[in-house]
Amino acid sequence: MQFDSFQINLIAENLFEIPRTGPMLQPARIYATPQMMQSLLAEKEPIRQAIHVAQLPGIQKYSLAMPDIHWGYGFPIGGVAATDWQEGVISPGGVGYDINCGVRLASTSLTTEGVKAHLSSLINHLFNTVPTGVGSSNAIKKLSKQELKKLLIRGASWAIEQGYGLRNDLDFIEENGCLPDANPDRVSERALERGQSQVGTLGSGNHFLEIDRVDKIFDSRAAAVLGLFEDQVVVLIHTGSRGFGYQVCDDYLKVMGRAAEKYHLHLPDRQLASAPVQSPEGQQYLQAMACAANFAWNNRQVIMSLAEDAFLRTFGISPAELGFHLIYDVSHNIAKKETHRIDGKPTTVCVHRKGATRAFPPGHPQIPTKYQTIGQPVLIPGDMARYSFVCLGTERAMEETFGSTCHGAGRLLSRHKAKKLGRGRNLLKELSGKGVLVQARGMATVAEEMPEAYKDVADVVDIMHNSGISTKVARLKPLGVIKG
Amino acid sequence: MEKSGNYFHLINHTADAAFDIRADSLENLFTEAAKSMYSLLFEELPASSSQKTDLALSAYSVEELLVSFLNELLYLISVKKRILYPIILLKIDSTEKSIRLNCRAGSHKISARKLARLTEIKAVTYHQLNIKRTDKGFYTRLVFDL
Repeated sequence: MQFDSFQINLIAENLFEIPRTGPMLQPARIYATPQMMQSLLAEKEPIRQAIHVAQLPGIQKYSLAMPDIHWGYGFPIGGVAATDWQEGVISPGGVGYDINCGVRLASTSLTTEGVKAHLSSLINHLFNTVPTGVGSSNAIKKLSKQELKKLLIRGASWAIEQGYGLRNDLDFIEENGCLPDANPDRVSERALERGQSQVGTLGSGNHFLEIDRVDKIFDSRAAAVLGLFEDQVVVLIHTGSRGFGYQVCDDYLKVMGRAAEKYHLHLPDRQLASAPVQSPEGQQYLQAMACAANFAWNNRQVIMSLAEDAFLRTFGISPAELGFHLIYDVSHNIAKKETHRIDGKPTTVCVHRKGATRAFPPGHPQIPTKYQTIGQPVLIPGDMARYSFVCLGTERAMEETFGSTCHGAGRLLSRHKAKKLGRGRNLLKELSGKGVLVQARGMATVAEEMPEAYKDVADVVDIMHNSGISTKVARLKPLGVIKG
Repeated sequence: MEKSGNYFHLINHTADAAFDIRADSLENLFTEAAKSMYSLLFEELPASSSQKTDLALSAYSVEELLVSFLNELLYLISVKKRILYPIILLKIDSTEKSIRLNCRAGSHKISARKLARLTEIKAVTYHQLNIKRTDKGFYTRLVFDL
């Protein structure tokens, strides 16, 4: 098939390639069914963006797009690009505004039967404990700028030192909850101001805290290692670096716009503004981005701890009886220094994941000892009525996608259309009829995030499962949700 | 055929929000851009206010100035809980090294409760942002990250 002057070839089941053409420095590869590809061709922008990413200086192997690809800004959402650490560029557009937006899964010892009668009270407690909505703040005491800088440097261990969670939790967070190059001197006063009162807040939009039940196990051996069993109650948290991260991204897009000119980088979209990784601008961005990543890990750490408190208060049981444990925490908006095999040689690259999840295989040194035999857990949320998935990274992902996989369902309807569709409907009642209790600050957010607004995440997860990139372990069904 | 006047038009964007904006002057393009952003947040905009706020910004390019202006308005909403509207005066001038904006607008307080219920706009992006002169004035595409 053809897209403008670009040829698109089906090179394997559910894998399309756009060969290097014109200004592209590498081919682009998109994981999609033929039917999905038809929709992408009609939509145009996501494919155009994957082609644009293939023009980033120093890009290695391919510009990649996962099956949840959709129109983003600069990179497509679902985009992955690895650039050479010495000769390539870093692009804030390949990370996004919500730096280290990610997902965290915690287990409990409770089962659906034990929770059902208290679900409404639990959701109330959670809603009153975890601030949600635009401008949500003060989950914990407002931090001084000096204290916030300590948090930015120390990563999630800061939250643990303050009593939010256990030291052991760090083993189950990507990068152990801390990017070491964080330098608060690279962060603006305004970013610090925005971060001071937002640690432990969920925010709005597609961010959520869900009480799920383990609905189906696909891989019982891996589920046992993860501590998952059928009908178990678990907690899924999706949020990021809040206004702090948005500000860091915005600040550095200006810096990168000038850097692109300074270093004579020819980029097809302003939002792909970049600088060489090794330039002062590139290094400064990486140090500021690391601060935002560390902020997000603290945010999810504090929220998880607040959620545990809400469970304890609701059920009046001891922490030992609750058995609240972090299973894993993944990032899906980040750029990181990683080593991958390129042309048979280990090569250091800057892997940009914009709406894509790291999916490292069994035996990889960067995954927890406990998961060495099964691989890195990958958490893929769906919409608030259907299901989410727990998967595992594979060696195939290392070979084909720089150790990356999909990150979610992808929207089917624009927010505007979803709101229109929600008019005159009692969405909370509809969701409750499907067995999902929802509490939200605003009904507009519930309408924007209604299940019909999203594609079926199972379609996305199955492509990656069947391609051997990330394999399914368990399916989670929502029982209750809090949102902005 | 291109309509004359100042207006914004929501275009179909599945994940985020995008507008085509046209105006007879650069100043009006900025005002329309602000109105497009507010349309994502508020069903009704406040009437005139006795309280006024002045903004002064400078940037390296006109596109950067537009993003800075809109992100400033967003920052005031989400952090300072204030909406700047109506825009009473907006002036853009350029020097050799930069482009400057001066704006005077009405200033209204938003309650934390109302703020929490708004659609969250994470930022104004540079994606497809290219302010062009047309026969009838100025045009740009504007994409917001939601």
